[in-house]
Amino acid sequence: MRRHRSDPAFGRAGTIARHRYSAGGRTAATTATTGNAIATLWNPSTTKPIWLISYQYVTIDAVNSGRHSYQRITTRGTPGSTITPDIDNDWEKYAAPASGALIDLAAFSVQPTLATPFTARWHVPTGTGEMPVFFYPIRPVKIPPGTGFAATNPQASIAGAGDVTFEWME
Amino acid sequence: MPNHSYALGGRTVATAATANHVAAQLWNPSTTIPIWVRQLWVCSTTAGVSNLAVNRSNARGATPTATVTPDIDSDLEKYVTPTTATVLELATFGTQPTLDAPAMFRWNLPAVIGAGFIFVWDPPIKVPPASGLCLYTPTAVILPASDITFVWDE
Repeated sequence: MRRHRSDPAFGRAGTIARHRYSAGGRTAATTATTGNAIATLWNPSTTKPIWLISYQYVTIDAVNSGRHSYQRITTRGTPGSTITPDIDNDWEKYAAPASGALIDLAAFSVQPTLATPFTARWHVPTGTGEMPVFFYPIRPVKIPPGTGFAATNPQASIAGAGDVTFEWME
Repeated sequence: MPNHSYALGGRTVATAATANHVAAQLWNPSTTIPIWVRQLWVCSTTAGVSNLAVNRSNARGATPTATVTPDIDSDLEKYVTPTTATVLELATFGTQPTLDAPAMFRWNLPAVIGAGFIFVWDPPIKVPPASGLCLYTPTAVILPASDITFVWDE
């Protein structure tokens, strides 16, 4: 399906201005349990969707970099750490995210609820500085209010610690 | 009205093994004119692991080891020196720039000479007057000497 440039999902050159945000942090390794979340972008708003533009993950050591999958989540879980973006994370430094979007990082003591099937799956080789980078620039992934998007471990093996960055529009 | 695009590069020295020490800062000293950063290039020059983060700075810091001052040659159209007088400052800093938080981007590079990446931002990141955009180590690990390039519009 082709979209007109006035579609708000484009976020620029359209008729509706949108803000672009990015925020990054470092995960801890997951446990060797299938479906454990590595990092999530959570939209706590009850009314506002957000649009995921890209997800970047870079391994920090050569231990168990492993397999990654990507899927929506319907509950947030309890993360090991949380990044709260503010006005500085707006590429125009204009406003803090109106949605209250958050980056949650492994290890989760309570796992998010995963929606199946996967939207994508990848294998990261064992090495420092290995990376998958996913871009959705033409058709961003809409994350409705009260939901999120997660990088997860699809197999019962540890997903190693990594540097994570999410970019999104709202 | 056409914008001017500028590119400017330099080489840092290694930072201290202190979290949030800045390796490179693109600083906009103008009191009125913003700039828009389109690209950041990083390339290791020694075989040390690089823990990297990118974020804004709201105070300049002082006494960088080196300052690269662009001129008309830095304009991709070779038309005019940057009106903002933007400069590239390189580690180490006697007084660290004041970083905002949380980080806008996180990354790391393996301990290999020539390991690197290029961030391309579209739309570009606006850097308001009297503020900067920094590459720094978010962990208490030395960020090795690196070749840095910023590309921006104004």
